[in-house]
Amino acid sequence: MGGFDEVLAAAREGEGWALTQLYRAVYPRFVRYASAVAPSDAHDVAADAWLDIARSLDRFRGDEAAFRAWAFTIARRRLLDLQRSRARRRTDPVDPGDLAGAGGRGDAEEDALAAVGTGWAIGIIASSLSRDQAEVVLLRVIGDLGVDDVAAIMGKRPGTIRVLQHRAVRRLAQVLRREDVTR
Amino acid sequence: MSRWDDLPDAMRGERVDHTTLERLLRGRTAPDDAPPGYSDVASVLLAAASPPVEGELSLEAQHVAAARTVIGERTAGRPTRPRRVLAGLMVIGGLLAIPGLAAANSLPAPAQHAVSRVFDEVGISVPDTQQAPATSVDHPASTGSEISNIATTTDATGVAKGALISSTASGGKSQAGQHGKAATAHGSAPVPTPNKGGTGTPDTASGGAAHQGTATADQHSGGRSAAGSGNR
Repeated sequence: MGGFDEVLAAAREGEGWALTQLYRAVYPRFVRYASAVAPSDAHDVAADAWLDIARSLDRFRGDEAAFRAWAFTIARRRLLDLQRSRARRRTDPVDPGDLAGAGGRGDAEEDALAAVGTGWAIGIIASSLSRDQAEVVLLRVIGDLGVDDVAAIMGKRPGTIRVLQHRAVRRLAQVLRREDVTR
Repeated sequence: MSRWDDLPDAMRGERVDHTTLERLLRGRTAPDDAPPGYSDVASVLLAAASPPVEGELSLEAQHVAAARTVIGERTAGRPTRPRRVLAGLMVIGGLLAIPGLAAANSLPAPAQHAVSRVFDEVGISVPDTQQAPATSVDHPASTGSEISNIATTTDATGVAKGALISSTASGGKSQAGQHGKAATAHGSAPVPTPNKGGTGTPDTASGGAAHQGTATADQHSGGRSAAGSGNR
């Protein structure tokens, strides 16, 4: 996103082209992040977070990386709000076996394959890891955030995040190796 | 039973160093470049971090429009930059103009009074319209007819009557009749006696000099002059 300051200033004034750039930078990431926890509500959470960002653009100060961290802070808050309001309703976890079978191996168009592949990947992460481990991996991979940003968003120490991400990656490797054996 | 992380590395797969882990988590490691046992992990993380596809942006137009609406509502009541600058200039101009107008006594009366009081606080004298005597005296007599009524109906006379009228007209501020005393009808004030012009004799009026003219005229006329003869 070249000229982030210019884009941000124009977006604050409601310029469509600038808002489109910001939208493309965050909305798909929101959907993927939220779909790991609440697949059926992922688009609603992402849309709410997007509008929160639009309302609060005037208050944001920082560069592009800070913007992503700020945006995911808002998205995570929206996700937690949803979970609180629907505490009694079970989320619909994705069966990694189903997704794995569809992951990029069909004959559909490239976009559809990529989307399925993305869904498969997020399903694997969500179903194989603990909640904290999955969130660290998703924020790091999907949000493109550093350890310190993830620590701030999750309210944990950076050292804790490093431990969580090490364990998450090792766990993923083990789960995927098992799947290869049983496939 | 041991936890997963307590198992030997050989049973869990190889450890990855910090740099490799960072590359994996940033989706920058191709499956073929991943350490042994991590190629599938690299595939999963790459897929999760892949660029957005068309389907993920299918609501883009609606969501951007909604954001524009939200921002438009937020900025609707906010003055634009030129308006803010103009408003600031007007305020500054007003602040600079007020002392000048006040010094020239050109402000509306209430404003002039207010400014005068403010400037008085800092020792600057500015005209105050509400201190002008002709306009600010609160005349106690409600109407002239009230005074007239007192003057024609009271039983008081002389000094007492004047004091009553004066006191009524001034709302009790007048002290007429309270100091000094009225002059008596036959007082001893040294008022000079009016001249009796024309009432005395010529001799009296001239201090006796009137005889001189008579005598002279008699001498020069051989006794025929009668000047002053009837005036004795």
